Amino acid sequence: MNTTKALRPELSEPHQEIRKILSECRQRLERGRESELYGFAWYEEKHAHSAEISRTVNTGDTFDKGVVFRLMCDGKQYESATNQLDREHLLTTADSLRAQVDKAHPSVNKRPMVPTTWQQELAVGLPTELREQIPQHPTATAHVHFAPRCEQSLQDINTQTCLTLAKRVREQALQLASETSGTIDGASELADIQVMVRFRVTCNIFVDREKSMSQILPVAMLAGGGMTRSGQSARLVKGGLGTLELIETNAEDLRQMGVVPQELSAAPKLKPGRYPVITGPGLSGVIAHEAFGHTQEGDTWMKGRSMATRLHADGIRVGNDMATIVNNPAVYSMDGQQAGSNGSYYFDHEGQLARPQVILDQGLLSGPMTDLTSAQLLNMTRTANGKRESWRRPLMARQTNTFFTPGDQTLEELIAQVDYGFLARYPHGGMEDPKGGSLTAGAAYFEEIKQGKLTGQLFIGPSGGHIELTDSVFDVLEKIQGKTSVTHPDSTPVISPGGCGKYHKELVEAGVGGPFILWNQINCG
Amino acid sequence: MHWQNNAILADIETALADFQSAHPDLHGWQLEAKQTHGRQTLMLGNNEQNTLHSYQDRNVSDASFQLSLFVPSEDGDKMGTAKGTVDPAGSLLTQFETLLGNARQAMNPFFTLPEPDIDYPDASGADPDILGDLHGAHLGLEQQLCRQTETLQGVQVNSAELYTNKHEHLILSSTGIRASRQSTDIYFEVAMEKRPLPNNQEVLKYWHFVSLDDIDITRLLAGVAEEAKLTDQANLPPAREDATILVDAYAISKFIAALASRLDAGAEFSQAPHFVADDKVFTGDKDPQSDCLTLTVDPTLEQMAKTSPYTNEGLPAQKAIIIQDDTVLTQTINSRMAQYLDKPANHIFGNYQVSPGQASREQLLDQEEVFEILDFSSLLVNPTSLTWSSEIKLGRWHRRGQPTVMVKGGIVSGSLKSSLSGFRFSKDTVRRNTTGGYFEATNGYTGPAYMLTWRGITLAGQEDNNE
Repeated sequence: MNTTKALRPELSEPHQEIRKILSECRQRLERGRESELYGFAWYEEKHAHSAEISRTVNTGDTFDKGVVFRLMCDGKQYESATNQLDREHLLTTADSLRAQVDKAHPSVNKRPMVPTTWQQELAVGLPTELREQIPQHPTATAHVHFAPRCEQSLQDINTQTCLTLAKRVREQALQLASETSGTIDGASELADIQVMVRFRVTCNIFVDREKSMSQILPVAMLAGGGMTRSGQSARLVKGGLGTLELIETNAEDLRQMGVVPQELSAAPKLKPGRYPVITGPGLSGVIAHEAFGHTQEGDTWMKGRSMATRLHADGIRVGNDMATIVNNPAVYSMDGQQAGSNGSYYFDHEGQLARPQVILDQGLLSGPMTDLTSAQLLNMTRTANGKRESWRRPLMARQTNTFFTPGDQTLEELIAQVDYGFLARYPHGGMEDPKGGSLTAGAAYFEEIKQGKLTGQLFIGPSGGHIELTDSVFDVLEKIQGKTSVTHPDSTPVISPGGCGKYHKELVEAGVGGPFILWNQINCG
Repeated sequence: MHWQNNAILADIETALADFQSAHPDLHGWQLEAKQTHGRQTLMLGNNEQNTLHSYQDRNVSDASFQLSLFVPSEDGDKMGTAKGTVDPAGSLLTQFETLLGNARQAMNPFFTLPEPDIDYPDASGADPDILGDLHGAHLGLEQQLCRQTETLQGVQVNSAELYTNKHEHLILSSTGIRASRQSTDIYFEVAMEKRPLPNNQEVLKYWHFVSLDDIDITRLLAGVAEEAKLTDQANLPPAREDATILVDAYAISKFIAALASRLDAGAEFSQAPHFVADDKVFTGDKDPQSDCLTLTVDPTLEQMAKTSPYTNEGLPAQKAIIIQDDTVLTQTINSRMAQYLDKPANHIFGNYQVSPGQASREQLLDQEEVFEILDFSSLLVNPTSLTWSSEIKLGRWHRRGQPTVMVKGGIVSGSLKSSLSGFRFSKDTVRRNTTGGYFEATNGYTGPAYMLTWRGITLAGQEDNNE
């Protein structure tokens, strides 16, 4: 692990100018009614370089930016969002929003939101990575900027860099595929390998009456996959909060793209049923995310749509002693990687500073992850989980990095405990059911375990596709038999980059992770 | 909100013309512009009176520009392509230079940009009332929704979301293509559960519409309430290696979209599994009791999500039958793929129209055993393998035509090619729109409301559940 890091990216001059305009707009949002209204301004910019190579080559150089003005009055959030960013238009937009709120609320009934000061935040405590970037004695008008340490200068990475890397990875995987071709009995020929490399830099600026903050979040991502002529495919996703060193591929990655699809095309179909399954970090994370991640989202509690509200109030145990799940936006390093995940940030989209939260502690639920609205309505602690897909979309309580805590065994020890079962390394989607408590998590394929050893035989789903794992979350979390250990000093396991839609929309970045976990008998089909 | 006399667009066009003059090796460009105005309201239920109130109310104004540049290789054998957004506030020249540099590195097999064709069909994918008064239309729906939820009995409404948008699209190219269209969309979702509380099940339903005429809030809410009342006492389904299932238009439209993607000539070029003319869409022996699939692509259906006078290349969209009686009549071939595959371009583009069957829903259910899937937890259809699977969020187990128990949990999975060898469609039809996003592509479907299939379906459930 390389521990020598370059400097943190700074806020550019044009961004400093935008910050000043936002500050002016924020004042106009609240002006004269500071004791009744709470307003903030949010700037979001995503500049992405991407290259996607298969039999065709596509490059993308996308630059999306927009501003959201928020006014909160009587517990309701009013927002105006635009990507016309000249000063005059922004001031007019802020004034229009204020006029809309004045008209709807000539007077207020509820106690207004009072934002926290820097002193209050520091008194509560912050992760080291945040604390060391906050100047001494910060004030409401002093700007605070956050960014991770990066191996490469952001200016050195462009679309052509991404294209070169994507080409190289594809050629290596194709070479491996051609060496394997014809050696697997009954396998279909590989049709193609597609590799996408994307480097995206997000810049956010947040201004309310107590804080002026910005963050730069570079995220490198590689997504690749091979497909046979019969349609069997296997995919790989890697990356995190940082630069391109995070997406260097290894032999196992190339095998996943070039060889595994061929193996899957000759693999038998799984007989549906209950089996012991060991999940890899990505799939463990999907289970954490779906099982009690969504269930612990504050807006789901607020709407009466989560079973967790009652389970928490009644102190009902929902899993065994190994069932501990953490949501933590403040992940800036993890087991085997000196960088965070794509779900990491320094503050959320409502300016709440990132801190870790145990959402399930040895089978007992804690309070929910909240956005501003749900924290107020539920009278619960506010956490840094207010997120939106983009400035175009509404804000909701969302997960950041969700993961199971590690255990104390090795993967070999877990495998040795399985008489007949499977290892599932790679996830394939998942879905929440916060009210009903069902778990759905997909595995791309299974690797067979017999009498405590991997046999090398792969299995595909009963109809020839991926394999679904489902059960009641209570049953699943009672069935944790063992977890692998990690060496990270804060015990943060591997967290894979991921995305999350709330039910079926509003895609946000969300890391999922955990150790390898052995589950005793899950319904697989 | 129009593109005529739009100063930003005019600046970009002028800059592009200058840029092309300064770079004679540039083959051409294509510019796509889109303006959107939207209202978004998130609502929360009041547990006692079933009233809804808004807790987040948003206005969104968006204008975006996407530019593609095309530059041939020095030997003229290949064509470099690059795509990017144009930031009107930044230096246009710098952005064009960056894209040109990217295009020179991203070489593809050679093709030329299509020439303009002005014979566009009449196709209206917008509601004039939303175009005329977005805020009034949105407010009207919101008020209607709030009134109707108060009348619901036996259920509690937990939340709802309502988004209303209007869009102005424009596509231009260096070859002289200039086509525009308007579109509108409404997104509506509602979550409710059965009274009395507490429950361990709720029903969440969502819909996309293009026009106000299609959104019948009273009927939608009544349907969700009816389903919510069925949620108690659902059991795990039994395990079946060959199950018979009934699915609704939500699943059918996803199946059809996946199937149609195999007719896209791009699938042939990428050497992925694909269909060509005269292929059968099913695998195995056709059951004589089975219906046949006939699929038409139509860009002109009034106010549907994929209604458009032009294709993604800006050429007139064409209507065609692409599958007739299970046999592929033609692939869908755009200008670029036509050049790559040396086939004639047909520019078939639009909504999916599936020919209905002969049976009523009741007749479809009149079998020894049918599992009717009311809700999938997460229906994922793999377009390359044409397989799918999902947990059953809620279903109904019918035996000899009669509903017996509700089922929940377990995993239903299927092979679409196998299912098309043994299926029947309902005679009643529905319209279904998906306005697009990360999780589902834009899709308009009109066709059977139900599909019964007894081939290629596996049910993972309780081994000994044979109630």
